[in-house]
Amino acid sequence: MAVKSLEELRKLRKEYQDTLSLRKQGEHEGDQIELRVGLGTCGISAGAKDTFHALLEEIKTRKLKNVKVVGVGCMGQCKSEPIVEVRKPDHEPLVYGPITADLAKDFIEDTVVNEDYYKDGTLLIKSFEKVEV
Amino acid sequence: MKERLTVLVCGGTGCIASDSDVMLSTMQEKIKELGLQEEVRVLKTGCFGFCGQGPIIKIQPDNIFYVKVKLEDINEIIEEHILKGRIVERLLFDDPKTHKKVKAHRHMDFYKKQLRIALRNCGTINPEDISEYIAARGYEALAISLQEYSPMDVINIMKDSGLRGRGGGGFPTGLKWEFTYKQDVKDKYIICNADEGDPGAFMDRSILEGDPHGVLEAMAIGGYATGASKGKIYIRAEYPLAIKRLEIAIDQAREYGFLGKNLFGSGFDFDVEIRLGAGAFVCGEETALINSMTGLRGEPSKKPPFPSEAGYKNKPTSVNNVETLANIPAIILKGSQWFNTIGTPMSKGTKVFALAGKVNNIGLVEVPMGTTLREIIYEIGGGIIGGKKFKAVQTGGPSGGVITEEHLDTPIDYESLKSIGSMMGSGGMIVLDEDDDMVEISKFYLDFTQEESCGKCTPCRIGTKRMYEILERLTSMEGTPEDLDILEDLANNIKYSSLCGLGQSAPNPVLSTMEYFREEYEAYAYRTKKTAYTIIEDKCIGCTKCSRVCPVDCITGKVKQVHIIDEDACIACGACYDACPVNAIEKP
Repeated sequence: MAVKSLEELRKLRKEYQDTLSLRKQGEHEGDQIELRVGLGTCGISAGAKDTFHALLEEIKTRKLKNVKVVGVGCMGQCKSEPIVEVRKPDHEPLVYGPITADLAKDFIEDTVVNEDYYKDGTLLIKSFEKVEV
Repeated sequence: MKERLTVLVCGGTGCIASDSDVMLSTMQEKIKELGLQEEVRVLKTGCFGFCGQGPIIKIQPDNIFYVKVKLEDINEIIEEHILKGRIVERLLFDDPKTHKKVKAHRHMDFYKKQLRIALRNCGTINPEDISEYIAARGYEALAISLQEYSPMDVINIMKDSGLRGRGGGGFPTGLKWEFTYKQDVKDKYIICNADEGDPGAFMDRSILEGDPHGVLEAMAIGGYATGASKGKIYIRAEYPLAIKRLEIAIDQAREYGFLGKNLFGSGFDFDVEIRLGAGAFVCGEETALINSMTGLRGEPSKKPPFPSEAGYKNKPTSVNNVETLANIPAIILKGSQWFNTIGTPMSKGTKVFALAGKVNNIGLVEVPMGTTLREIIYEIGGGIIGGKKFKAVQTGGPSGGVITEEHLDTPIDYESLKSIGSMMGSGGMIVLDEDDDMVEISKFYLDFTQEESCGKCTPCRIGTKRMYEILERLTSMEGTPEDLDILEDLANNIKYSSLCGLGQSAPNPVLSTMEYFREEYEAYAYRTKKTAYTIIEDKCIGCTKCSRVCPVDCITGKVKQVHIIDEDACIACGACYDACPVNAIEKP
């Protein structure tokens, strides 16, 4: 399968690019939105992993470049799992729950695309700052 | 299921020596057992550079950098981090200055000041998977060169960029290519010099292990620019992992048509062959390298003719170092102007150094030219181990010299290092502290060069041996003050009369240490050097700790009484010094 031109090579690069996307996101600094999904035991049993993948799917469908989804430990308020925390640069973190997989589409639309807060969901707390170790 | 995590396990020689390859396979198996193989990708990468903290495992997109991971930690990383999103705090890097845990590599002093061009793909892609290299814009520089530039265009880009040879000499790469290009001969060659031989230097090995395609691509670009359709990589057989990864890369590149006939439909043919060297230091010298490749003894020959006129098989040959080549695809993609803005007026771009010795952060660092030694040692390197006093830093390996405190603020480039009596060399940088004996250090390097001398020319063959004998005499307290004059005289003569770079530079470690630390040589020559540890009577509390650790039983004394060291029997190992709880022991 010899590559015969620069155009063919660039096409091939597009095809392979996804393999590096998580690594690029991780290195990225600045204007990135971080969605943190609580992956504690109760989070997982409430469907946090489905939410996680639904968020990833939605980000891919919309070809959003400035957002990454990260799994984090227990969020603390078990009755509201699955919990998603939205961290935007220069904004106070917002914590939502429950965000089940079927809400992922609207959730992304409100928080990332429209850069607003998620209107239909329960806003648990406005700030969730922990002391950095 | 979409991929949600990428786990990068360091696959450099350093980390593999601590079982990172077993960790990789264990992790892959466990992920499979858990049925997570679709959402968690576990792969090996090239060297992260922070070898002193290895084995390293990095998790993305969380950007968590685990250090000193052991095989038994793998389960915890999977159970805690991968399954439950909880960071394993105890495996995070412990900042030697603040004693705080640091999660992301970019917040570590070690990485803050680095600029990675030659190492751009090391630690981010899987070196054994060409698709990852392509995803990182691999082979695009070659395609652009072939489709949009003439060979002379490529040469001009290199000349404008100001790139100079990273093997140590610092010859402008564009000029070297132009000399070869201008030879009106049919068969030409481009050789990648991977005969890295300085003790303590491992830049080239790490580049080849972490990004072999980058070097192959650059060789093809160089082949196109100089008119060579054959490339050879001369690499020492003692780099088995680099060789294996290169072989894999060559096969993959051929499969994709990046090596072979008619590359990118341009009509240009280029292929690469690996030639193994037996690991002789002199074979890093280009004429000796070519002789060795031809099947002759690895001995240098007189220049001119330069290899660019008559090199391998007497044909025009361009010999380029691994690190030099690793810069080239980036220069083509980003332009000569970009590269030209990095560095100092005479030395452009970055340089990779293997930072070792008595510094806290040991590893591979790539910094812009013009960075000062102080920044490298105290910021990137995190200062001297145990808060001891800095004495000197040795650069340029057996061909270089020492740099002392007064020159620590010199911006590093080819000229400035030469002007203070050392040299850039290939990039070894060994930090020495107050405990290091400079005469022993130069003896170590001379032992290396006199053994590696190929024997062709007299000054180097006999001269370095005699120099070594004088140092032997001095350090065994059998020397005389006259030995110092003979040593200096010999050193200068060898420097000016040897045939090749090995002999011309072999006396440098002696000359430079004699310039800055002459009193240490004199202490040996006049036999005033103290060689034993002593106990300060007033301070000794008679705890017996020193006598218990002494390996030669030369410390005597009763409990709660002052102890005494038998100075004739003392071997100056320092065990008592470390054991004493009240600092009652004095160093020699």
